[in-house]
Amino acid sequence: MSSPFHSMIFWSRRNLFATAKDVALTVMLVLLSIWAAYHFIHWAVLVARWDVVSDSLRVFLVGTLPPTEFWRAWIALLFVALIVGSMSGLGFAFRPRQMALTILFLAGLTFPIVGNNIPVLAAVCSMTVSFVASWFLVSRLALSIRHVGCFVTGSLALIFMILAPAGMDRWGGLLLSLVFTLVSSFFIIIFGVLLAFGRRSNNWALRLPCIMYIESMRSLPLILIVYWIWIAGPLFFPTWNVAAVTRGIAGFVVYFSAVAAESVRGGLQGLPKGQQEAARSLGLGEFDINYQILLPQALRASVPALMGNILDVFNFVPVVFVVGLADFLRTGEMVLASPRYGDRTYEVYVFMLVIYFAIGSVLTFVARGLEHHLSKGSRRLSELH
Amino acid sequence: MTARPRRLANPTERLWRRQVIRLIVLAALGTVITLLIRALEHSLADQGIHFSFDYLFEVAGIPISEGRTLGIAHGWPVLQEYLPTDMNSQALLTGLFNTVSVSLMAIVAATVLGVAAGLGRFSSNWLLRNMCFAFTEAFRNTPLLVQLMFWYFGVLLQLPPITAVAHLLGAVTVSVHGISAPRIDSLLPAGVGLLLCLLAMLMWISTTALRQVNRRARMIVIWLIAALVVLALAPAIPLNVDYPISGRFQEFGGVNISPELAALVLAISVNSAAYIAEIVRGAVDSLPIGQWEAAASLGLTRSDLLRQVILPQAVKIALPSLGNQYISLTKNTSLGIAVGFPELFNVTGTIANQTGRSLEGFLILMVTYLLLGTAISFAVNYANSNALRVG
Amino acid sequence: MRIGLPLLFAAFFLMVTGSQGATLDLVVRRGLLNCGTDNTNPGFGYLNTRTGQMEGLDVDFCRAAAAAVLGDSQKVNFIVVTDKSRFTALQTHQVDVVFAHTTIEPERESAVGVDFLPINFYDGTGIMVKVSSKVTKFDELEGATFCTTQGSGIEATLASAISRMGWRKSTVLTYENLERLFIAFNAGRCDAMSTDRSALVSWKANSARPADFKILGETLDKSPFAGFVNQGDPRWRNILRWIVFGLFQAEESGVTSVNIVERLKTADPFVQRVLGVTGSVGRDFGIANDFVAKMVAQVGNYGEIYDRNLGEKTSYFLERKGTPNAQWKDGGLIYSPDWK
Repeated sequence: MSSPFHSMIFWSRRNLFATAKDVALTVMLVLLSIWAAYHFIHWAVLVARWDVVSDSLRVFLVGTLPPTEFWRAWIALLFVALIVGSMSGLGFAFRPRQMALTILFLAGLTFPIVGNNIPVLAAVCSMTVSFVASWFLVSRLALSIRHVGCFVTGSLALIFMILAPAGMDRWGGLLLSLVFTLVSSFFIIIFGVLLAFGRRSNNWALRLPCIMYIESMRSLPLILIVYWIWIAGPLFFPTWNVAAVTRGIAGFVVYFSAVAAESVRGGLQGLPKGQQEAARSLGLGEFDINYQILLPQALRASVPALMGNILDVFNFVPVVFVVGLADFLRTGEMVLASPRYGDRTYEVYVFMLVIYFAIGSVLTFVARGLEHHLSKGSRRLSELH
Repeated sequence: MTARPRRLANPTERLWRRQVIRLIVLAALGTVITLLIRALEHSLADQGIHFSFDYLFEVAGIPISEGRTLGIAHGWPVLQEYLPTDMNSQALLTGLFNTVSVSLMAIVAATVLGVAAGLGRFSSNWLLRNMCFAFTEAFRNTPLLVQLMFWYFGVLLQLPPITAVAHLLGAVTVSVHGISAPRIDSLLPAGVGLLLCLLAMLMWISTTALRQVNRRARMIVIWLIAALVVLALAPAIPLNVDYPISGRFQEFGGVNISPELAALVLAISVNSAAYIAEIVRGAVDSLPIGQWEAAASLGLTRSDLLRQVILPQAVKIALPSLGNQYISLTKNTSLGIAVGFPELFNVTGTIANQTGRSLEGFLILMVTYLLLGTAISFAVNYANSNALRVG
Repeated sequence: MRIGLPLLFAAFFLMVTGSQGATLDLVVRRGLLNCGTDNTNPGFGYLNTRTGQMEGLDVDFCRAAAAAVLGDSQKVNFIVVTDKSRFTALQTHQVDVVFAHTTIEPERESAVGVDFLPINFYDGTGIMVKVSSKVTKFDELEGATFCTTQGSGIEATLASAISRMGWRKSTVLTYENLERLFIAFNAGRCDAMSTDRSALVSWKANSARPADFKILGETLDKSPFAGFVNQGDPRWRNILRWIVFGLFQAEESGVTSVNIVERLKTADPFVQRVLGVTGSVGRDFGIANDFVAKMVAQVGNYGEIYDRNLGEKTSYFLERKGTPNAQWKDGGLIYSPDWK
């Protein structure tokens, strides 16, 4: 007689109450979780005043972009959603039911906050629609990485062209964080691959500078690099108005290319050497070997590490406060600085943590999907449990 | 994937191509270096600024809220309190002391917490498994800077003020001004004690090489290390305990841990612990599954298995990545500027502001961080090669 | 080997300045004035998150400079500088001029290498404590934790004040900006908050419960604020000096943005020279001859700028009467040389 009740007891016996130590541990953790959850929910629902978030949504989303330029921000965010959706489509099949449930759940959470702010509501809805649409298209049409890659490049260029006339120093908020991450990642992957291959070159004139560059970036903090590229920028182009955003991106690219190079190197190391020797015996030149044979495999193998790097880029964008850019974190502080909301520290910080966590989770989710997709065939212990 | 058929290069062509590439790269580097040095000379002459390090020996005049600097007392180098009348170089040393102490504390804490969380993913307890997973996800997917802000403004500054604080165990206080505890004066001057501890640490690392080789030699070395540590921590005779005294505003004397230091160490350790947990999980995952099954058939309990079989192997695999994490951790201390903690980046900036010496300050910063990173890589590589040799 | 490339990078990044063309030509060619200012200092340089516009005394001076040099007060690129980065930003030509509540100090002209413009606001360093701490005088703050902003120069002031009083156990904490400083002060981490008096007044007025705070009577030192430019371009410096004097003189002569049109037709030869109707001051400098008129028409004279940002109708009201910030005719120190 195995009713659901019995199977539940059986499961708990095995997983929660196996030994005496286990019992104690389970009880302690359950009590801890209940206490923490109760306090948090009590605060979030009864004590916190969330009007600071709904009033400042515009600042959070786009910083100090003037209202006449919102349409640009809206289009840019649409394309960001398209890019992320298409990349998810590469890794995961389109499952309508689960997606609908997730969307309903998220809508339930965000509607109370966003509800009365029509422009933001419209933006969020259109972003969701484009995200789902691109996922659907990519997975149903079974587009390859190459197609998606071209699309992503084109969209990034489009985003830049659309946003630039608004005045790049006015970008701010979540828009800045997202665009900054995407544009930097694009260049970081390119330069990272170049550096990784340069590091393996037989030509010492290529190898040594690459090694020195990678090793020195390993030891220097990002905040230092960004700050000093920001200072050196106008020296080379005194009459050009090189925006702080561009200099910030340059700083990130300089630093993270070295990190990405190490990830790609890890992928390269896993490849069997026999391929290179066979190719060489066929008379293929170095460049051909690298480009036609090694590169596709190396990229595939280093995707998890590279996605980890991209997540790091996103998580380090707040460092641009040293060069005066108003990214998402800084807009939170600016909101706290105004007298009306001076004592809402907790609300604003919790809101920012939740949003950052959501976006980070999306990135990790996409990374895991890609990793799973590319490594079918090897059993993993953690998946057995 | 259709590739255009390329003409295959013969060996002579390849050699020429290599030489040409070499020439191009060297020429480019040479041009860039010459241009930069020319521009540097030109700009310094323009500004009338003399590039010199003399400013390091001028009086600093700026206050630094915590940390120790290096001074000379009775011919020994000692760690002493920093005063605004000290030189700029001593101010920088204070910043360096702060950076290094935060890094060391964070490395230890992050490793302990990270390994525990990583192994916890393989526990037989479902709750523990998933809480470790949640922990890793939560702290890896959010920015470190936001976490730091939260720890400082959201947690540590919410502690009770000094007037309302209770005295734990009669002597320890935890308030918004930090943690105060009694301190026992040690026999040796503070700098010498630190040197002895460092020596002990180096000897401990090198004993890993002796592990299988010579049991007696290893015992001798271990006793030596113990003696060094005891000497370094020995209390002064007669016993002198420095109790924190409540002033009007804060506690004086004893050991003080400021909220800035605590927030930075907490934020960096917990954040790095999440990454280390992921590394450990990956390392354990890569071990052959047969080991788990064999251990189960031998009747080993899960915790015994983890501790004695899996953990040593996993640590060996994970060591290089752990080294990377430690270097990241040391670099992350530069975020202390956001909570007002006077670590090296912060102090260098303040001095540059006061004296106008950004160039020299930047050079010093770069060299210092490179040395720190190299030292950590060195230590980890040494441990790695020893571990590989033994296992 | 590991040091080689970084030294290369050091040289690369440490090019403090190249030889530049004259700043005026650069600005005109660019068509925009790069002005360094703060964005978190209410009343002086503040980003209004509601409207997305920059407001403040310093901000209006930037706009006036743009109106004078480029003819349009909107042609300003506000570059945010902090107390820590304001000098480096100027030295590396990120900005052409900085108006950021900066105190005139000799080292800044001798060692750091900037030229100060005429003083546009007279302030002092003050101390604010919580009423609950029952402190009434600076002398009672032995052993307290002081807090200020990084790079403000107040760190050195506090250090000298502390050593003068012979206190050994006081701590000085520095935060990156005023917002974090105030949060820490509010939470009780700092016993005393020290920054310019004007900032203290505006923060106190804007806090949730102003009655909880008390500004002590002592002023630790004088803090005259002035804008500054790079050393080595005397012409640019002189242009900006006379821009500031022009704003002072406009107020003294009673020329406002409201009556500028009729005053332009005035028969008073003195006012004619100020407004550029006669004389060739502006032309000789290389900018429009009627630069003062343009400034006043678009931004207002000094009195209007003050009232707009620190006047009675604002929430950061700082009294002008009886302080050095009044016109010299009213007993203050705002004084412009004659435009003969």
